[in-house]
Amino acid sequence: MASNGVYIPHESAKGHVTGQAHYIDDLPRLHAELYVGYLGSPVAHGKILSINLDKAKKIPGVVGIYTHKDIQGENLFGPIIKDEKFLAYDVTHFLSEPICVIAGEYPEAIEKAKAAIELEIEELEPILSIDKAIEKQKFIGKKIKIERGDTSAGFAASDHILEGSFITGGQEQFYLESQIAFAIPQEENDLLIYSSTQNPTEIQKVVAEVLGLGHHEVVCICKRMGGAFGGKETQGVHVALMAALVAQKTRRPARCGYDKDTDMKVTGKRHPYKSFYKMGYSQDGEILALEIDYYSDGGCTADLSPSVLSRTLMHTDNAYFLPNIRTTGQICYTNFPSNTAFRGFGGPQGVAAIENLIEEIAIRLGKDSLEIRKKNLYGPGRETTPYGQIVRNNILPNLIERLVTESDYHARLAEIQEYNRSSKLNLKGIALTPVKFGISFTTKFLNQGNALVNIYTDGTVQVSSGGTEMGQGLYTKLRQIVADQFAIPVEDVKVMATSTEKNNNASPTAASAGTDLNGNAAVNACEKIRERLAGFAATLLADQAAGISPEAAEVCFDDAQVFDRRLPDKKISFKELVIKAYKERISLGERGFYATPGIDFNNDTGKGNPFYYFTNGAAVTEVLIDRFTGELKLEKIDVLMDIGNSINPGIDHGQITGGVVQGLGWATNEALTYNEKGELLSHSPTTYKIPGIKDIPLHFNVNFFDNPEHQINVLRSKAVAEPPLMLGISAFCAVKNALSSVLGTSGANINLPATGEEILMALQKTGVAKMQS
Amino acid sequence: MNNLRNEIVFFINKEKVVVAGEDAFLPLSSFLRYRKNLTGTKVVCSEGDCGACTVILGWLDENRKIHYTMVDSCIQFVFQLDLCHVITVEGLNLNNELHPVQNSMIRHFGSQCGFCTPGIVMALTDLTLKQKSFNAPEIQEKLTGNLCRCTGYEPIVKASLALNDESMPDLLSSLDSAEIEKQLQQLADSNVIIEFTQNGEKKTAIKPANLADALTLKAKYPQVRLVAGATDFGVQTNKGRAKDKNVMFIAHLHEIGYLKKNAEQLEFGATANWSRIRDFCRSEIPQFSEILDIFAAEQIRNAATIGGNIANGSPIADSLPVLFALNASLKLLSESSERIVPINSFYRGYKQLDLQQNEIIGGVILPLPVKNSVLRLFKVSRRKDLDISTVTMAIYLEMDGNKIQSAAIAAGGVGPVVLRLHSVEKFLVDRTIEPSVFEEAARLAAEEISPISDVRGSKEYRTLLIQNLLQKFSLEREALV
Repeated sequence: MASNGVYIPHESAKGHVTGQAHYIDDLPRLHAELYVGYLGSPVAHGKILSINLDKAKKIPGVVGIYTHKDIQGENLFGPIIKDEKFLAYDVTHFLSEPICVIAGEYPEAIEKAKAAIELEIEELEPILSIDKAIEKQKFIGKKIKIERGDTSAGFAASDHILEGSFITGGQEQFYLESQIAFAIPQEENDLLIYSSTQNPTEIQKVVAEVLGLGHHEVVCICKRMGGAFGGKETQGVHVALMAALVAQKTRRPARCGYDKDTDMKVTGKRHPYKSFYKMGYSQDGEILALEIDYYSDGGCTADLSPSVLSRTLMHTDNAYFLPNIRTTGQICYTNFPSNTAFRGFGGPQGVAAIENLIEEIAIRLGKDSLEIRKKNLYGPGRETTPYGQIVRNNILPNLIERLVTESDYHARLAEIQEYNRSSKLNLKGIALTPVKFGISFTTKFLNQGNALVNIYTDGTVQVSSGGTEMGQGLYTKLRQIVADQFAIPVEDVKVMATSTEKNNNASPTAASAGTDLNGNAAVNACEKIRERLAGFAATLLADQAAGISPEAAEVCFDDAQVFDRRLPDKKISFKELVIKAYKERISLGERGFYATPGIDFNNDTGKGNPFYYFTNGAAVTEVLIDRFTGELKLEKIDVLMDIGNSINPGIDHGQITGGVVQGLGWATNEALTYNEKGELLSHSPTTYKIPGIKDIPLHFNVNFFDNPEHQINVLRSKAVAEPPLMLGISAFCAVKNALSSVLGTSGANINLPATGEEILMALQKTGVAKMQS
Repeated sequence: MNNLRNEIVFFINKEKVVVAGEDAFLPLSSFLRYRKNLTGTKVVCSEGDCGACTVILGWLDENRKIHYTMVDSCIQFVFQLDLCHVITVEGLNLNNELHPVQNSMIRHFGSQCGFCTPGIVMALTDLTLKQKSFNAPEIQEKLTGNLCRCTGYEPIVKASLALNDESMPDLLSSLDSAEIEKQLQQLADSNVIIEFTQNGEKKTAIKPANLADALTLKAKYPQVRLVAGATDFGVQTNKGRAKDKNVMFIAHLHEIGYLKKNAEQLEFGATANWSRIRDFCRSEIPQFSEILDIFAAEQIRNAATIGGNIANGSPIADSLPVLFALNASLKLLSESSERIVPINSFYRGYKQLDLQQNEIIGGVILPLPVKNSVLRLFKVSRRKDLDISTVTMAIYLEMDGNKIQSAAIAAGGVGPVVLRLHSVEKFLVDRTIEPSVFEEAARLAAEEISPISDVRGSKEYRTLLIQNLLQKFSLEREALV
């Protein structure tokens, strides 16, 4: 019985529901373990004049206070550009940027030490907005571009030109387990680090390089994370460095974790964007030319911003063929913590930009936005993206048709229009938006994975890979993949904690590619073992008298048994085969490797084939708006996704519901508010409102769209984690649709997220909010 | 005065726990995790806004019977737990079998990263203790206080609905609840005083045996901070904004936990929690219950008291506008006297109260709306549920036929205290409820308020909301006739 395609519970589900699944703060305290905290910059931008630790060091319980001077390696790191200091010493670039690391016997000692450190700092004028950065021309990295066709000619041929700007807000990942790491000194200079990270290799590398160690002297382990969503791709490194530095200096175990408020204040988020657009379109709604200049708020260092920005440009087309297009992107330097990865990784900003414009076209032409979308979809003769990749297996037109029917879109649209004509108190809106999301890291070398498979003499199996588990179900799928390779029950396979000791030079578990890269690598390892086992089994199963000579290709693994296809009645159990193979000195372990084929991209020309395939989907969302308060209620959501063959429909369904809801949060309600000093005011769930259970309509249908033509990738599956997030944009478009019923054909120019305030202010501008009967 | 005990006694699952000294000041979640290694209870926000730390708490009522409700353990302190029975997620599996709630969550993919899961399991377990069957809106209601970032909730609703077909084990019996009740009953009637010195600082936690002793102790220790549900005290303490060294816990005082009604008024004892008040008001002032439906979440409503809410004095407290508009009065008690103060004159400025150091808020008297009247309450917040309001409003009009005889309009979130909009009230008298009248009322209201811009909304947005709510009210009335 294959486990592929079966609803098999999450491999840690029992641990989750009993509370027995361990996270790093749950690990028992070790003998002589230290607490770790830090003193950060009191200003968003400042020049450090002096630091005096004398008083603070004398406080009882303070074991050590460390500054940049105590760093034995290089006080500089960064995943793309090395521009981030671990401990600031000259100029600080964001509020609470680490300056001193404090080790204490108990937490109170650290709090007292922070107050006793004498830090003299001269405040510099911070840059706290994209506008200001543009004004001062403060950018990180160079301007990037993707273009094709002739936009001037496109504009000339257009019936209408629309120009303007559009803002999409930032978003906090809001993983429930805050950043945390636990460093334990080993023999000699070695360090063992437990880290809540999507990227153990990066933790290993940065800790080693900053502490002046070889990579081989640092081991990083991650069993699971309490959520990550991109927020632990690079951002886990700061707490890991602090814990590691203390462990190195004191040779005592040291654990460093942020509380929720600190975490939200000091770690990077989804990039806010401001874009300036010029679009030309025909009277029937076809986009003939589009120019968009994107400015992302990168925060104070590069971090992953260049890759995030390039994905924005690659997703500006979303599902649409744009014949004449010129998109540029520039990362703004601001005095905020460096913005970083968040599920979608620049894709949502690009998709929101184009969907916002499509909705505008519909409003301005007085047409149904679905009609405009269908008119612009990729299709025969229009299948090349602006960056030159051909859109193959383009199932979106069919998928959309099915969703239109299943959601009863047209009838509901008519009902809504009628409702809006008569309701004095509320407005309704509806929109269908698609997503076509490119799968692969856009940085070519990251598209590799390795896995280690060990079979033990009782026939049970351990597998580990460079992929980490953050709840998305990678371990569950790996377990299924490996079990099916040997045709054994999933219970006989365990996925072990991710460790740099077992799986070296791994890529972050990101870009939705965890199962693609690590699953394929695990298959590769299993195939090699199976080949050896089959060769050996062939000799056991052969029957010279019956004229059956050993033939490995004839050996079958099925239902925990092994047999020769030609003699199906002569079976041995997998367990028996394994112990026999061991005694014949046949290796029962293997490392597998995988590199995604056929992908490349030239950043200089903005051309290439960056994606192995696309994951597609669409959603219809209906909203209800209070005309007097702007309050928004999600009424109905219908989702249809093409994710190829689902290895585990239960896991994949949850990835879709969860992704859509995160997208809904970003599009409608999650607003980051800062004061004039650059301090985040919405730094906990009291003030930062992610969707709650009552925000999700009970009418929330999720279905899979069958796509038999998808024949590539592990078990013909598709990546699923990020694409659904962009379907949250359907709610934003539905708000615009609702507003258009009172704003008329002059457009419904709102920014994202469509909070109650944003909506009410848009209504107010036209006097509609005060409209009488 | 009753006899004295110097330790807190309570039960965790089946274990009897005795605490003296500094651990009495720990949040329950920290005590569970770091003193008892019960790390199934997770902590995310430390402010009662995520539910990851949800536990079920058993407490003795005035008849000394044990009742179980769910609370957030991050904002319950050990000094509040004397004579309580705490059930944690570990308590569900003492027999090494999974609870049906747990099985259903596993089967329906209700967990992804697993960090919110123990809290959700505890909330659902509490639901199974209260109801045999439940529909989807009831499940949503129950889980309003539990945030999940992974699943989008849909799988959790499915897992919960599937429980309708399951028979539930007798969890309370398996935890020896009856025996624990008996043991706790034997300990009742003591004053508990925990005193200790830490780093040269003396700290005191007092739990009085009854109201009389509470008033005596308040006179003796006037500097103690009164703590009832601790739902705000807990946040302030966890975030380092409150550093109280001396506290007196009063939420267990049954003498001031009453709920009474007669033809003219309702009376709430100060320690009545919001869950009880919400149910109690459903028939007499349903509008108030509807506001309480979106007041925080059940974990908070089970702990937070009306007295605490009033003493906390927040201008954005959801409960205050109705109390202002209906001219509620407060009963203030001290060892030697009792006085009644109208709530409209109780607040003298931002968090400035007409309350003496030896006084305790004993209760609230809320006049019921008269027969020919209209009461409409509004709360606008960024998220509908489990959110602090941007703006609140209560409109109370006593009618003489079509004419407004008298008006009381209270607005929160637009000044340092809840404001009565006197010029609007005056303007409305002798007028009718119609859009043109309320358009003018809205204009007057804008002149009377002084909102600020903050994380919950801009000054302009708040001003617009106040104006629009008045107009919405008149349009709603029009739609009714």
